[in-house]
Parts: sequence; structure tokens; C-alpha cells
Amino acid sequence: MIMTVTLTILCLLLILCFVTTSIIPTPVGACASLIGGFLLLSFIYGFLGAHFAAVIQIIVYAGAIMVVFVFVVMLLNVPTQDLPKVKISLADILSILLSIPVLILVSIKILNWQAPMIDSQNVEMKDIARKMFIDYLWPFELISFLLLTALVAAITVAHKNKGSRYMLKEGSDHGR
Amino acid sequence: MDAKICIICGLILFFVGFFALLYRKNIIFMMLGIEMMLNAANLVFAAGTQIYHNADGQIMIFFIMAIAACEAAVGLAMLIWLSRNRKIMDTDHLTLLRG
Amino acid sequence: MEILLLLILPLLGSCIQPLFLAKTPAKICGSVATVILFSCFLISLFIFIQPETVSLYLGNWIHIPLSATENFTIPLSFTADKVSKLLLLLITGIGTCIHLYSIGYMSEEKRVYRFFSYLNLFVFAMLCLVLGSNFLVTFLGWEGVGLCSYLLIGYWHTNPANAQAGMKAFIVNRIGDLGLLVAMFTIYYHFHTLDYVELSQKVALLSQSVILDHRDVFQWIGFSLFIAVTGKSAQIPLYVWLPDAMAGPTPVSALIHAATMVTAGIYLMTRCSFLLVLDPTVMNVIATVGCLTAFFAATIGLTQWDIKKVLAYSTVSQLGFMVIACGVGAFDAAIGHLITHAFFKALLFLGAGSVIHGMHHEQDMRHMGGLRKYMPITTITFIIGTLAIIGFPGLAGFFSKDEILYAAWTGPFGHPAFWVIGWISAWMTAFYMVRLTVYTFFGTFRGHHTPHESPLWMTVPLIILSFFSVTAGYLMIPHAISELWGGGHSWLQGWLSFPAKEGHGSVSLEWSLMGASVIAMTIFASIAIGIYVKGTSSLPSLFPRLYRLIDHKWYVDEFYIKVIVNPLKNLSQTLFILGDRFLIEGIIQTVSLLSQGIGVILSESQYGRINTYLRFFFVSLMLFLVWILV
Repeated sequence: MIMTVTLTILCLLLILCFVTTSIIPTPVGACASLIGGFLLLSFIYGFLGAHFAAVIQIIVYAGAIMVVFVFVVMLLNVPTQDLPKVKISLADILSILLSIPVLILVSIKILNWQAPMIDSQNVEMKDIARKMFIDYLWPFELISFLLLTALVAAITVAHKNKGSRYMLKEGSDHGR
Repeated sequence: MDAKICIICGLILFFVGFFALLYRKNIIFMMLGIEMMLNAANLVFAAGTQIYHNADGQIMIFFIMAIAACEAAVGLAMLIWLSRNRKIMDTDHLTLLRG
Repeated sequence: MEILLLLILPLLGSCIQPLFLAKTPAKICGSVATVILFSCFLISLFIFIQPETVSLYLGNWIHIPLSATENFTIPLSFTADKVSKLLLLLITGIGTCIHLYSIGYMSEEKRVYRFFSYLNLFVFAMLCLVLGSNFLVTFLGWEGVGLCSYLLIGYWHTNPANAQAGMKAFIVNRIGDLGLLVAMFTIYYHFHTLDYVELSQKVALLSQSVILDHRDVFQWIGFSLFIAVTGKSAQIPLYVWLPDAMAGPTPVSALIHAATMVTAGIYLMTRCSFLLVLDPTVMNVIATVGCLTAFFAATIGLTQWDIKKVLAYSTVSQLGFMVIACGVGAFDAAIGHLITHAFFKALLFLGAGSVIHGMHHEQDMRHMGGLRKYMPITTITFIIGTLAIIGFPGLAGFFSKDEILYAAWTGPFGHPAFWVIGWISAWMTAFYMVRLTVYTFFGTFRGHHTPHESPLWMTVPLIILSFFSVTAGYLMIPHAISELWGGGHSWLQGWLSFPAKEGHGSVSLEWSLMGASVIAMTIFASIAIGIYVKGTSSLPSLFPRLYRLIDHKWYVDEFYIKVIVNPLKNLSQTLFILGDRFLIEGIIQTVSLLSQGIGVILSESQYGRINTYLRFFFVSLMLFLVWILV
């Protein structure tokens, strides 16, 4: 009972954080509230028994990805966005009108869904490791390759013109 | 029951992130919206571990996080390029593909 | 079998020339062509000696099953019956002479293989024409000779005037061909056969009442056939191509426009004689047109100064005589005159060619004169030819022309008026031919360069042809003279044996008409000698307006251009602008403009803004979810 209530409160706070991220005009503020949301998310993962996920959420998401985001924000001096003057157009009204019933419908379906009763212990790190390196070895390796590719791509795209490998003329703006 | 609440929460978070993507002009904020959507998916998978007592959910979370990292890296690199060469990061002005 | 050989040899000869003899001089390729044609002559002789009709059947050319019982079949078959055998000898014999002559005439030309190739092709087409046993095979040859005529007239095509002359010949011929096509369609529609023998059998079975009832059908056939004849045999109104055809080399004029192609029309009328005689109106029209043409062309011949033009109009006039003969029902007289005319007209043309060759390609009479000192053989043969054509007693033309004139008065469809006009045309023939001869060969030399006699290649054919011009007439000795020794029909009449439609005449009438012709010829020939031996004449100044009219060929060409050619050109220009530019290009441009416009409209949907895309994306996603959940 207490778990459920705590979970509900955490979820509500999470939603609040994310909505703040959407609305806040300053970029750093948006990133900060997102980090807060990630922290809350980590708590929720803990409550749900996904301890590994909780930990890597902090380490990877909050600790690496958001750092990069904040770093880029600082580097590029992203200006403060005024709240976008939303021109309420037909598409907007339609989307809002459509999303609410969808949400409600889906929620009802989920609540009525009979979750299968699987009685087993909590998942431990050993099980994750076993699964990862036996069943999911192939995607695991591919993911590592993907990371490598993304690394190369990011470096190539963001490289400065000066000292480029292609020895372009100075001052020429060929980009990549 | 807990899991169900988390799933519904994930749904709502997905929509929040999507609206952030739709209604923000600056690319940084749009990318934050994308991160929000990915995290919503993560939350649903985490609820799945609670229901099925399986390691698959957390592994999926792991993969999704890795992909999110790649995508954030590449996206930010492109953002740097844009700001260096065009000096404008508004989607209002990024209309090269306009027919 | 012999017919197959006869047909294949010239065709092969025509093909050999461009393939193997392309770089050889005139002597070699000309000799090959002449040898081929001489072998054709020997084969024709062989065919001639056969007592029976020789046939060749090469299978069905066209075979279309129309229904369960009916077929549209045209066999590719050739027949050499009496008329064809005669004409075969004529074509191959005169053809050989002319091929021999051309070796000398074209000796300085480069790449003469074209010339001899076309000449052989022409012989092939002409043989097809006379050997065909149905209308369609004849038509094949008909078109073929038209084509070769075009090719040969425009042989020196680098000169645009020559090319235009070739085109004129072909186009005017084509108009005539339309007549032949219409006649063929009508004949097939009513008789379901195009074969001459079958057709004559079917026609013979028709009773007199049927013929009278369907007079319009036979008139239609007759007039259409006659239109074809006017095209090919240069009668009014389609004769205008023949004088222009003199732009071609002289051997071409000799072979095609004197001896063979122009006689194709006469041949056709002779073949279809059983159809033509069914309707008197058709025959009268034929004879009238022949008379008018003979008279008309003779008047123009009086005023021409170009040697070949005089001979051209003379050909038209003599063809008019042949047409008169056909029109009055004396088809054997027509064939007789065809034969003799072939000889002496070819002789005259070759002689003119010899003169032109000797005068270094000068064709105007006013620059010639006194050539008998320089070119004796040509002079003698030319004089023989002239005497033949004007009907000097004893030579070929005398017999055949008098046969025609007698038939014009007394033939089955004859009338004295035809004789009168023919007689007057004969005066003029005498006059202008003697004028031509005297002016060219006698008197003082008015030219610039010294002329020379032609080489042996050219003079030997002249001698051969002059021999025949003298002797060919004895094949067709008229009835009156043969009465002297109690003979019956002439050899030619016996040979051809047309269904005897007896004319109404007497021996004494024949003698008096003959006498009238001879007297008139003598008078007018003497007048011409008297006027022209001095070198020039003052006749033009006596009748200036008339002279101008005739000198301009009665303004026929101008009339045609104004009435037919120019309106057609304007019409085609208008249609071109309307049809091609507005319609077709309009459609194409409309299509392209349409696709461009649609593209512009559709490309408006490419906003280029991510937000907008995402919004649409979201809406559709929601709709999809709703659809799934509900």
C-alpha cells in the first residue's frame, strides 16, 4: 500500500518535472529539470525492482548525456526562448482533442489488463549478465559498434575547418 | 498495480515529450523532448520487469540508453555544425528542404 | 522457265553494278550491262519462236481468305502471248542498242555504275509490265518504270533543275496511277478477277443488254484506265512531264521516253481492248484526246529551239497518233506504229545525243548548223530517221502512220474528223522534223567549238536502228498495197489477230488517203527546206501573238502552277501551321505545362518545417490509435 502511494507520488512529481522541462524558457533550466526528472526516474526504477537500470540511469543519462547537453548549451550560448506564441491552429486543436480520449482509453485498457502472475524472485545482476552475454550477445556487440560509429560521426560533423584532414583552403566554408 | 501505474505514467510522459518536440522552436529543446520520450519507454520496460520478473526489461533499458547516447551525440554534433555555419538554430529558418 | 531467266537477269545486273562494279569506268560496267541485256534479247528471240504462249507461275502473291468460300488471290504469274512477245523483242533489242550507245555517251562520267544499274532495273520493270498476266503484276512493272524514270531523269541530281524534272515526272505519273488503281478496284469489284485471260472470258460471256445496262461501270473503268494512259503515255492533260524529262541523259530519253515506257499506256489499252470497246463513248473520248494531243504537241514542236525538246513534243504527238488508233478500234495499227515509232524515235534521240556529244553538250539548234561536214554517219542516220517519221514512202513510218490514218477514217469507231486532225498533225510533223534536220545539219556552222564525230560505240547502234527504221514497216503493209499482189492481211495483223471488227472502207479510199498524206508531206517538207536552209526564218514576225503563245507552250505549265500547284502548296502550308504547330505541338506543350503545374501545386505540401511534419504525424498517430482501440 505504502509502496503504491509512494510510487504514485513519485510519478506525479516526475510528470511535473518533465512538463517543467517542456515549458521553461531558459535552456539550462530545462536541462536542470530534466536531470531532476532522471533522478526521480531512478528512484522509480528502484521501486520497481530494476536496480541495475536505476544505477545506469544515474551514471549514463544524468551523468553523461545530460552533461553533454549542458556542455553544448554553454558552448553555443543558446538564447533564452520566450514561451512560444502558440498559434492555435486546427492541427493543434485536433491533436489535443484526440490525445485526451486516447489517453483515457489506453489507461482504461491498461488498468483492466490482467497481469500474468509470475511468481519468482527478484531479478539479480547475475541474471542480467547471463542473459546479456548469452541471449543478447549479438545486439550487445552491435551496440558497441553503433557507439563507435556515433563517435566517429560526431567528431567528423563537429570538426572545425582548420586543420581538416581534407586540407581545404583556408576560409572556405565547405562544411562537411 | 504498481506496474500499471508506471505504465500509465510512461504514457503520459511520452505525450509530454512529444508536445515538447512539437511546440518548441529551438533544436536543443526538441532534443530534450526526444530524451523525454525515450525515458518514457524506459519506464514502461522497467514496469515490465516488475510484472514478468525477467531480466529482459533491464537489458532493453540498457540498449535504449546506449542508443539514446549515440543519438544525442550525433544530434549535438550536428547542432554545433549548424550553429557554426548558419548561426541560426531555429526550425523556422531551417527550410532548405522546402518544396 | 525462260521467262524467269528473262526477268532475273536484268534484276541481277542491276544489283551487280553497285555491289561489284562501283569503281569501274563506263566501258566495263556498261559492257556488263549490255551483255546481260543482249542475253535477254536472245532469250526473247527464243520465246518469240515458240509457237505457244509461254507462261510462268510463281505462286500466289497475295492470298487473303475472305470467308469460308471466298479468297482474295492474286497469283504472281507471267504470260508471253503474241503482243508481249513482240514487245519483248522490242524492249530487249532496242535496250541492247541503247546500252551499247550509253557506253560511249557516258564514257567521261564518273561512277556510271548508277546509270547502268538503273537502266537494267528499268528493263526489269518494263519486262514485268509486258509479261504480267494480271493487272497487279502489270501495275508492279508500271510503278517500277515510273520509279526508274524518276531515278534516271534526275541522274545528274546535283543540278536542282534536273531533280525537279524527275519529281515532276514521278508526281504526274502518280496521278495517272490513281486512275489505274481505281480501274483495278472497279474491275475486281465487278468481275472478281484481275487476270486478263479470265477477264476477257467473263466479258465475252456478257450479253449486249447487260453491257448496255451497266454502261456506267464500263465507262468508269474505261475512263480510269485512260487516265492512267494519259499519265504514262503523255497525253493531255498529263503530258507536261515529258518535255521536262529531257533533263536526263539522252540514252534515257531514247529508251524510256521514246521506245518503251511511254508505250506502256498503249500496251495497257491493247491488253484491255476487250473492255474498252464495250462502250463507244470511251472510245470516242480516247480518240478525241489522242487527236487533240497530236495536234497540240505538234504546234509546240514547231517553235522549239532545243533539239531534244523538239523530239519530246514529237514523241507526245506520235503517242497521240497511237492513242487515236486505239480509240478508233485499230489496236493492231497502234501496236504497229508503236514498233516503228520505237525504232525511229530511238534513232532520232540517239542521233540527237550524238550531236550533243559532238557539240560538247550544246543543245540549242541556233548554235548548230552544217554539221554534215563534221558528223557524216550521224547525219545520214538522222535523215533516215526523219524520213521515217514524216512518212516518206517506203520507210517504216509511212506504213504504220498511214494505217492509223486510214483506220481513223474507217475504223469501227472512226470518223473522218479524226482523219482530218491527224492529217494536219502529220503536216506539222513533216514541217518541224525537216526544220530540225535542215537547221542542224545543213547551212553554215553557227557554233563555237569544232564538233567531232562520235565514237563507234555510238554510231553502230545508230546504224542498226536506221536499218530497222527502214525495214520494220514491211511487217505491216496496209491492205490496199497488199491487194496489188492479192495478199490478205499484213503479217502484223495476222500475227496479232485481234477480233475482227470490220471497218467500213474501201481500197480506193485507202489509196486516196495515202496519196493525200504523201502529197501533204512533200509540200510541207519542201517548204521547211526552203525556209530553213538559209539559216533563219521570218515566220515568227508574221504571226507575233500566235508565235508567242505557242513558244510558251500554250502557257499550260503556268496554268497548272497557278491552278493546281500553288493552291496545294498554300493548303499544305495552312494545314502544317494548323495541324502541326497548333494541334500536335499544342497537345505536347499542354501536357508538359499540365505536369509542371501539378508539380508546382503539389510541391506546396513540402513545408520544409519539421514542426509541421510532426504535427501531421501526431494527428495521424492518434487517429490510428483510436482506430485500433475502438
